[in-house]
Amino acid sequence: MLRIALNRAMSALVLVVIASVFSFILVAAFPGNVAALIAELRGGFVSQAVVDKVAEEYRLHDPLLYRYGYWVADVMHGDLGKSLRTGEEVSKAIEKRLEPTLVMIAGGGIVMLVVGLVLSFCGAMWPGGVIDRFIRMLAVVNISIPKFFLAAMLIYAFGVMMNLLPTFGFRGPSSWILPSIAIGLVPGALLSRVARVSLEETMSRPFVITAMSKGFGRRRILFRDALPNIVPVVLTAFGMNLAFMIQSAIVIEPIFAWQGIGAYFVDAARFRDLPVLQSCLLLFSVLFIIVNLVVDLLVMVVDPLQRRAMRG
Amino acid sequence: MKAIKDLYKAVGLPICLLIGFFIFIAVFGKYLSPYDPNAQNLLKASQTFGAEHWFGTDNLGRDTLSRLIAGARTTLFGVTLVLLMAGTVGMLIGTISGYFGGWIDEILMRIIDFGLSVPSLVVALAIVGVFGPDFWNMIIALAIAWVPIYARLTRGVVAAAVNQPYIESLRVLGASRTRIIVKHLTPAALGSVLIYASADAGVLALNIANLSFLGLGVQPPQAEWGQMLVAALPYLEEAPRLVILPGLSLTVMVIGFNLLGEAIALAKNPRPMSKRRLFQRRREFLKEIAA
Repeated sequence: MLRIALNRAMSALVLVVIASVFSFILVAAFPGNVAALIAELRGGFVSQAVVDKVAEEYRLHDPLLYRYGYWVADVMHGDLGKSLRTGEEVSKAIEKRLEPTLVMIAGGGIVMLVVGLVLSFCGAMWPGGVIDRFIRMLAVVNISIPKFFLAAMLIYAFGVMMNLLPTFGFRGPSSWILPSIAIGLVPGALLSRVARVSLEETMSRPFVITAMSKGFGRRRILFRDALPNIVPVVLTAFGMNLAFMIQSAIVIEPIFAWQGIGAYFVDAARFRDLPVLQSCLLLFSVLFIIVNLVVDLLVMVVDPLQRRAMRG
Repeated sequence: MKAIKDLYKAVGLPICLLIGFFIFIAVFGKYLSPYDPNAQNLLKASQTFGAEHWFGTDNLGRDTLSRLIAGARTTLFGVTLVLLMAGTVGMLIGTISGYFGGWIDEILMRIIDFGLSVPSLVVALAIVGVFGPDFWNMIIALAIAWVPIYARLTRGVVAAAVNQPYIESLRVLGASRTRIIVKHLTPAALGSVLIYASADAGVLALNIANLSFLGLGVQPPQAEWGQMLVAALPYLEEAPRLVILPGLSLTVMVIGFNLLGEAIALAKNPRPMSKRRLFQRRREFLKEIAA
């Protein structure tokens, strides 16, 4: 068990190393003279001497391998460089912007879990009924709807038409509601489908028929007998979708004018802010790898079948 | 030919019509659109639905219907380009990896693993960020982000085929390495790649729209649905139709692609029969016997 967990962690570590190489190479592959670009962004008169000075400062004359080594050492010390545009330290900026993103992902996770479980259990209570068919339809429509369109429609419905909720900025719990729904609704529909299929599969197992023949009601069987069986599947799907929410945050944050790391990433891409871009790519990759690792380990702990298979 | 017929049978007419509609609009859009999609006419700005401009005009007086049609063209053109590029490069890498095996396979697959473990939009965003926002940079960025999937897919097929007796006998017969790869292994993988690509088109269309929405893909004034939507967002209160129409177009198109992918996946590997279906099948069978 421990060995397999360690193995899994090792391969995650390899992925993190590749992520760092990729983040580094991408910026090293920048077309044109980086030093000239930086000098230009700093403003003032750009002469060859200034460009050389910048190149010296960023160690641009050193061999690539050395530069990678310096960069990794800096990152390990928590130094991600300075933004080219604002001169702010990237690590401080990320720290400041982490809160909105985490709130959004947490809210989205709750929305996803509620939507997913409620829909799937309603579907399983009355199989083939209206709700069941509705879920199937909803899932197809939901994975097809662009997130920014969904967010815009939510803003229109709750902000403009009903004037119920704030649609702009990160200002207290009432402003958290719409972004959470916007980010959590689609994964919720996906989760409901996964849960529904595995519930259906569980409900056709012999022990359910035994329970039925004992005279237990459908609701009791669903909650007491079937629910524990689908936990590993739901947990895996939940974790995967949670990881993908990090990606969705990139699109959703700018719509609601939240200053999270997703919006930071987009701004960096818009203004070719190389250190920020590099750090954000690394951060997102590592976050994604870690979430997936944690989910895998959690499922290992939760699922007795997997535990037994590993021991044997 | 038979494969296409089978595919059509599995997918069904409505989905084919839906996707055919968008392809038709994309190809013949130039002749269909009533106005030039980029022609501004400030005298007729911000009109709603009407006889002259069916879907109205935007804040610059551009005909919304014409821009929607042009948007279909942009999106489908982009999706096709990305799929072609990512498919070709992915198949190349996958074939090399699957055919040679050993350390080449090990290294390539580690890199592919990374590509698969990080969401594609993040990779594409970073690449566009470095090379600058532009239509072609977006296409290349998405293609790079999409290569790993196709490489992995191809590698699976090729690695399974390489040890099959028929490849072995080809080698014995003296077929060259190139001949085996080009004439026997690549076609084996092409089927899976094409099927996956048809299901993948919807996700790609969404990502093109995502990047354009963020201002990092298709640049104005070229019409694209995501970009139209973001341009109309400030006028959400006065003219919601300018937001709804492009969003709806994109949603319907992606629904079409997703239904296509689902139908193909179902035909390729049907779901285990549930009890309900079993009863249904039994009833049909009884009816057949009775008739």
